Amino acid sequence: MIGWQLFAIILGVSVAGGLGSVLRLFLGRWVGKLPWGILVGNVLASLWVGVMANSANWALAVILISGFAGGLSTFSGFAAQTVDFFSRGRITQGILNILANLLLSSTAVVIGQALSAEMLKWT
Amino acid sequence: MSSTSRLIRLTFLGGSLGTAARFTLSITLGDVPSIILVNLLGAALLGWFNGNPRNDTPDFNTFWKVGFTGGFTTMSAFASFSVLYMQVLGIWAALATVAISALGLAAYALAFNASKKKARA
Repeated sequence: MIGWQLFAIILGVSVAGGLGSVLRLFLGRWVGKLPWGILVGNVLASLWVGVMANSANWALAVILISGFAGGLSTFSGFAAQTVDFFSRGRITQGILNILANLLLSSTAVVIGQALSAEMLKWT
Repeated sequence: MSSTSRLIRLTFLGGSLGTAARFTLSITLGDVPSIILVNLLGAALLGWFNGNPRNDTPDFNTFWKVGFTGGFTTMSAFASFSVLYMQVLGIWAALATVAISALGLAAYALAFNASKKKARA
């Protein structure tokens, strides 16, 4: 890849990541029995990755997948919340948080891929 | 600048920086090694930050914790590659996903405790 093209992609990914992070900042305020905001951010981002999987525009897909979805989702926040549950003796919540994040995020990727495949049939 | 506006700007800057660092690593190392590395490293970094009470300021929390480590790590790419490999390797990929997640939690906890110990010393 030519230098300036790579630079433009990195810049686009970076800006999209910043926007995804800002969305996560607001979603992250939604906390209850589980950190729902982080969970919803992770699931929505995973769904988005699945939907964009068949995108014909490579550069746009990279910016929206690595940038926006990557910025919206977080592994560190998930780890921090889960360890916090365990350290407070809230074992059930910790285990539920792990299961919800891993299973729902993976399921969202599959649903996104299916939606993407359906959309391709219609275009 | 209002408080909310400042939080948004700091999160955007930290998130952009973290995302750019993650993307640059993915170009250099390849997708799967970089996803594992950023998630373990990012979890440890957040643990290190959270372990020291002196880091608990609104600006630090927003730029470094929400922005940088949040943007540096990724659950969506992790889930995406887990699904991809599960279609090929089945249960082994699922076990690897659980193992990497457990390592991420351990990385956070170890860094948190080390940072807390250092802050007390």
